[in-house]
Amino acid sequence: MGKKSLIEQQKAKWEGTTLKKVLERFPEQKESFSTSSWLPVERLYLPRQMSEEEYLEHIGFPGEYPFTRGVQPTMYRGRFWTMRQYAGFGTAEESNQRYKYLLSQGQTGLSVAFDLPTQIGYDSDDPRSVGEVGKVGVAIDSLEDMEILFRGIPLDKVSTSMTINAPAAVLLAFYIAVAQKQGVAKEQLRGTIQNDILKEYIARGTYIFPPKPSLRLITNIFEYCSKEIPRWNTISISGYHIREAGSTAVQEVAFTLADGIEYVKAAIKVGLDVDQFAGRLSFFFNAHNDLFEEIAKFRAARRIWAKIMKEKFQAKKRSP
Amino acid sequence: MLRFHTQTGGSTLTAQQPDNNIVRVTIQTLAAVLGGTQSLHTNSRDEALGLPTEDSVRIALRTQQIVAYESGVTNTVDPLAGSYFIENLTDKIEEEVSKYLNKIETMGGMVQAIENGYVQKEIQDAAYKYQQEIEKGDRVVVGVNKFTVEQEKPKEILRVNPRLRKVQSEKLMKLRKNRNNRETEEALQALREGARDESVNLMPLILDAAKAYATLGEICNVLRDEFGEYRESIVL
Repeated sequence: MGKKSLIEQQKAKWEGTTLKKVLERFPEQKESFSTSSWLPVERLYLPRQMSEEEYLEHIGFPGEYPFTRGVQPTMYRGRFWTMRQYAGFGTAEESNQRYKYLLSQGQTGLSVAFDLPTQIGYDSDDPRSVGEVGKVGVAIDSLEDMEILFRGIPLDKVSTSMTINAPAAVLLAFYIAVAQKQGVAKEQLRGTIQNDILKEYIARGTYIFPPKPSLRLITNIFEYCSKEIPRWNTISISGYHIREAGSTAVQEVAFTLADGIEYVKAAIKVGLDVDQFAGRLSFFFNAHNDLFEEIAKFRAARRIWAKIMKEKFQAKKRSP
Repeated sequence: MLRFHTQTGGSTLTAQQPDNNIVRVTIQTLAAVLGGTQSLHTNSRDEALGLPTEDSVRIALRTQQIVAYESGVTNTVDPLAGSYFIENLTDKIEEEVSKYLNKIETMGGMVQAIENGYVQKEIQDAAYKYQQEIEKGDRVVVGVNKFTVEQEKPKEILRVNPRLRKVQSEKLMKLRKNRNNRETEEALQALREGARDESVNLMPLILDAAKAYATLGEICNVLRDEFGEYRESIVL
C-alpha cells in the first residue's frame, strides 16, 4: 500500500470520530444511496489526484475537444439557449396562431408537433387516420397546409424544429417549398428535422419503411442538405423517447450514441465525407429530476461523442 | 461536437396535483442549462392531462426565462466543473456508456441490436424495476404514492375539435380537384423510378412532388409500394 494522502488520513480520522458519533445516534435514512438510475452515490466526495495532463485530456476548455465543459467558449454569456416550446394541434390555421403568440411572448424558435397520421405518412382522409386528425399535433396533408402553418412567419428569421421521422424528407420538402414562395433562399434556412428512425423502432413507434430504405432516405437528406441548406440540422438523434420508455440515464446516452454511430457509418458507406455532414448532426435528450445525474449525463455525452468522432471516424473539422 | 436540444421529462409529470409539475420542470430546466444545452422545451404542468392551455404554456416559458435572467447560473461557463461529485459521476456515466457501446459493437451494430430485441429488452427491464419501486413505495413520487390528496378535479383543459378530420378531408378534396393532376402524377412517377435506383438521391424528386401539390399520403404511398413496410418483431 502506498502512503496515504493527507486528505485520506484526515478522512479516516473523521470517520472514526465525528462521523461515527453521529451515525451511532442518528443513522442515515437509507443503507445506501443511488441516483435515480441506480448509480451508487457515496456520502462524501473528496478531491482526487488528477494531473494537469489528465485535466486537459478529459475536461479541457469549453469550445474545444473533448467539449466536456460545453460546445461554445462563452456559453450563455454570449447568448442564451434557444427557448423552443413544442407546439401544434388541430389545423394549420390554429397552430399558426399559437406560433405567432409564442413568438410574441419572447420565444426564439419554433418547434412543430405533427399529428399521428402525418407522422406515419397518411392523409387526413385516409381511413387509418380516423380519430387521430389534429390530436397530438397539427395535421399537414400537403404543401397547402404548410403554407398556412407558416403564414406571416418569416422563415429567414426563425429557426424551426420539426418532430418528424419516417416522412421527414417530405415535410422538409414542404418547408423548403414554403420558403421559396416567401422568397427566402435555401442557404438562409435554419432548423432541424428529427429524422431519427432507429429510435422509432426502439421506443417511439412511428416508423413506415424497413431499416435499409429508411437509412437511404436519411443519407439522401444528409447529402442534399450539405449542398443545398448548409445551416439545417439534418437529424436530431434522440434519447428523449428512449428515456420516456423507461430507460436509465446511462441507457439513454448509450443507445442514442449507438444510433448516431450507425448513421455515421451508413453515410460513410454511401461515400459521404464525415467532415461534410457530421457537423450538422444534432442530438435530443431528456431532462429528469435527478439534477446532478442529469448534468453529469450531458457532460459525459459530449465527451464520449467527441472521442467517437475523432478516434473511430477520424473527423477533423469541428462543428459550426 | 455534440450539440443538443433538451425537453423536460414528460414521464416525470403527474396528473395528481398538476401544479407540482411546475417545480419539477424548474429542476429539469436547471439540469439542462447546467448541462450546457443549446435549446430547451419545458413541459407545461397540465401535459399529463391533455394538451396544454395557453396559461400553462406561458408558465413553462417563463420558467426558462427566470432561470436565464434571474438565477445567475448562466454567468459563468460550466459552473459545476470541478465538483468532486459531478466529475466523478461524469466519469462513471462515461464508463457505463462505453460498456454498452462495446457490447452493441460486438453484436454487429445498432440495427442488429434492435432487430434481435436486445435494446428494447434492456429498456423494458429498467422500466419494470422503476415501476416496481414506485409501487412498493421504495421510490417516492410526491402526490402519487406519498403526500397525496383527495383527487381534485382537473382544471380547464384544451380539447381538440372532433370535426377536424372532416375539415381536412374537404381541403384535400378541393386540392385534388384544383391542382394540375398531370404534373402531380408525373412527379410521383419520377419519384417511383428514383426509388428503384439506389444511387439516386430522392430529396430533389420529393421536392418536385411537393411543389406539384402531391399530398403527404400520396408521396409516402409511392415509397411504401417500392420499399415495403416495417413490421415490429415481437420481443419476449
